[in-house]
Amino acid sequence: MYTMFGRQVTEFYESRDSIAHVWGSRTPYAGERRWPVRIDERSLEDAGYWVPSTCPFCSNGCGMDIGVRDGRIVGVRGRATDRANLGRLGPKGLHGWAANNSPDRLTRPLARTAGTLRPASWEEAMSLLVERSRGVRDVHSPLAMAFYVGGQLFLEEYYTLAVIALAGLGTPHLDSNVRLSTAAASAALTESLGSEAQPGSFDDVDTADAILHVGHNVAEQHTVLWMRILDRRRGPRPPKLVVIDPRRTPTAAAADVHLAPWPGSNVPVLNGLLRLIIEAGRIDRAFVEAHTMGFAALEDMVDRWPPERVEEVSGVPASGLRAAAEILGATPTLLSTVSLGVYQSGQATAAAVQVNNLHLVRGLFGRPGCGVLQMGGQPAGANAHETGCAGALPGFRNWANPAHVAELAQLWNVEAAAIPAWGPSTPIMQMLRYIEEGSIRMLWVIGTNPAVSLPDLLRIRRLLGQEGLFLVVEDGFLNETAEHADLVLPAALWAEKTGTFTSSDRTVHISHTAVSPPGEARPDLAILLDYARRMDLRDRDGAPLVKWRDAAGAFEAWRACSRGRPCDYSGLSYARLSGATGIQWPCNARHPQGAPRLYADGVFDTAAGRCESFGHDLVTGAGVSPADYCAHDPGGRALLKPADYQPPLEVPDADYPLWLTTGRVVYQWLTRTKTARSKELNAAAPEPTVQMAEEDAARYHIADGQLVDLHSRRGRAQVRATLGGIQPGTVFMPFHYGSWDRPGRRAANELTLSEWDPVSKQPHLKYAAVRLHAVPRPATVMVRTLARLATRIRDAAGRALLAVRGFAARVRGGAGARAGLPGAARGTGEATR
Amino acid sequence: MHVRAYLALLEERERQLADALEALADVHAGEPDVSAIGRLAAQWSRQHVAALAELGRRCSGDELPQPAPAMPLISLRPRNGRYGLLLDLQSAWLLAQDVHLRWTVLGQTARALRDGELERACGTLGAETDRQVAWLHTRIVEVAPQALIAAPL
Repeated sequence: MYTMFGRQVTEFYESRDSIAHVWGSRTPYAGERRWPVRIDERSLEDAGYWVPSTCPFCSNGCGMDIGVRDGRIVGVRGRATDRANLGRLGPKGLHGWAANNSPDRLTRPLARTAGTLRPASWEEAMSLLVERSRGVRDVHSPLAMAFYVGGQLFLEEYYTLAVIALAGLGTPHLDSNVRLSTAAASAALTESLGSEAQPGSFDDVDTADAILHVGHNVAEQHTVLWMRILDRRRGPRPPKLVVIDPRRTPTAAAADVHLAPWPGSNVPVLNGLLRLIIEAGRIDRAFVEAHTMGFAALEDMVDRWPPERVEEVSGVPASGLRAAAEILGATPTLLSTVSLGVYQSGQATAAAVQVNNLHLVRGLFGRPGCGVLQMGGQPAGANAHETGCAGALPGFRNWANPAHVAELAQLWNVEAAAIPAWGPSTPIMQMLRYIEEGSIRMLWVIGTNPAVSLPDLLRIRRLLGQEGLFLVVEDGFLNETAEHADLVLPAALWAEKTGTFTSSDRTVHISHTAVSPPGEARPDLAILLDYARRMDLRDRDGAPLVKWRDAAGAFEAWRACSRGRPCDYSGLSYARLSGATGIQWPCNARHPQGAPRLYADGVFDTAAGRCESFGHDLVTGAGVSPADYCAHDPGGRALLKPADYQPPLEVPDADYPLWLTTGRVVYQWLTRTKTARSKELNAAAPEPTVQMAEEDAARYHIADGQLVDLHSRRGRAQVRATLGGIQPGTVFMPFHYGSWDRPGRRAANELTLSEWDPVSKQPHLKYAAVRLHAVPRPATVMVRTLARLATRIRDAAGRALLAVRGFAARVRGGAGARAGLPGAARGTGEATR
Repeated sequence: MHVRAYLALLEERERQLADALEALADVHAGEPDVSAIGRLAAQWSRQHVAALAELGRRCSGDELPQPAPAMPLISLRPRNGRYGLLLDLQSAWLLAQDVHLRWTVLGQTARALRDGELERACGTLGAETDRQVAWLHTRIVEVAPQALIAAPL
């Protein structure tokens, strides 16, 4: 900043070009908490002041300060003292805040009248919402009401929503879009360890001797975590890197060993690795005997998967599998991360559980460098899980444990019967069926965009627009889903409200209000509190059910709810969280500074009275009965659950010969609602592509950059081709692209399947069978158009000739010619079609 | 000895269970999980049928079995909709329970006969029937409230 003619002039400042160099320059290191500071900043003007916050893209939870000038966000910079990033930010963090300032933000409620969305006052909007809610509830029961929420709200908002839905309205139809991203992560941790608490820490990168990424393109999904891994790889004693991914992603390209299984074959590969490790005797027998149950069954199962059979089923060469097993079996410490390549693929929970099993049989748990990170995706996805908006009861409580339900009833001061404890709560894919058949009549969507992110979009659009469904959409923008809405509520975004959210390694951060929301937009919390008040939701003594009036009050209520549970926030406060860095839960009397790692004592959350679930059959999804679980109460031992391979239901065949798999690009986020409104991010990845091997491109006569038509049994999409970096037989499409900024069928989910993992109920978005062909190039199109035009001219001439002849015939009085005329016209009509 | 006759009876029941599960999967194809797991569970029962035929051949010394009663335990007229799904799941559960009990009966007999092979078969195959029962029960419990309270008539 400098002064010219007495006026302050502001300057653009960018510490690095994160579009061209996603991960920036290296700061090599080794050793726990030795990661050097590097401050990334991007400001369009000098900030008048900085407001402490946290990056709202991805679950790394980077500490970030928001630069404000004249009531607007003008820049962001990484916070040097935060444990998640030590100053760094990725490209989405540095650029994505542009969305807040976007001129097309929703600023007023909209209500549909006579088929069109028209501006309405808040009073009108909330009155309509309450009137319709009461109508549906009173006539059709609370089972006709449903809530579907995103992964980017704040903890305080999720918890308030859970109390409203579960205790106030009494509906079990409450789910979050984390069902699409990380439901299997939670399910796998719960099946193995008793609760979905993340055992590991990002600090495990600092000391791990080997790192395993399974279906986790960390370089593009968690850019700052990848910077840390790259810095370790460049420093002394670099960790070995093993990557399992069907594509040669930037993550895979950096690996010492890259295994590329065919879609849907994670279980055979992981079983094969376990077999080699057990066979070589590289297991910690003492740990297995003292702290686990089920080793014999696991050993028996993986014994059926010799490397040659794994190769046959997955396409992973036996030699590659052996090389990976050598690293994973020999390393004294191991950090494993798992993500969508597992969670959205076949046998999601079963496969993710095998990664837990790898750590359990090797005894690599609870020590520095020995983390398992069943990664989250979205910044606040963890909070949706913790608070009860994504399957479990609030505080990782167990639906099937009456004592847990009674705790909540006491906490909320309601009858236990008020809570729909016959649960579990309804996953979104099941809700869609209920909507389809007309038994759910009201759906309230908050901060998510199902019209792009759910599978089989033709069906989704039909459902959202269905007669008899009252659809409420609450968002910052008029997204594709809002186009179907009966009522649209304008929501404040991150930086426009205060609240907390929690990263993939249990680090709780606060994000303070930096600017005001635009127009009449309101924080989700304010809307929910207003709704609870207007619906007159009360506790058993007739007092208001929701007893808080702001975010701080909601946080206090949540502290009480989480007390004593694995996700214990009782030692946290807004004041503590507003310090130098985020703090990991559990934070309580036992862990006043937060616990860096869980289960250091080898005692897991599996005791019958503590566990979050009694578990499931990994193949059928059948629940284990309370009596069965209690009869074999693991009492703190981890469960080694084996899984045999189940082939995907849809596999390539003669009609649809290719695998389609889906995923991310680094510059876009979810359905691009925010990232596409940053000029730089959108310019870096402006449109979707289909990535295919050169061999496949040659077979289908497709050139790089050419438009391609893709078809599945459910729908079609048209996008441009990009060649290389993927195995023949598989094509890849990013899932971000919808139609709000450019019409057309270009979403990957036009093609995907409506089926899901039996345990976590997470949809299988990672595979579908497709066929494709090139859309002819403009030159070809022009030649064809000319040819068609020529045919038409010829046909028209022919018709004219016939007409003249017919006329001549009629003039001559011949009846036969009249009969011939329409027939001739029909013939030419078919020829020109 | 009635062992061979009993094996034939169980074989017939397993066949009925497989048919019922396949019908469930077909009629409720709009429920992807019912369809997928139903088909898998039906496959298990088909394998049980083959295994039982094999076990029956081992008992060739026994008296010829009475023809198994053809009377099905449940009516196989699958019904549409949420309420129909509930009823169909119930029917399949009833049949699976019957099969489950028969594996238990046969297992007891195998122990008394000191027939290790039959006992092992009853253990492993009966365990799969257990899983069928548990799955059907889980799905019934999930669907019941929505089917009986909220589903349109």
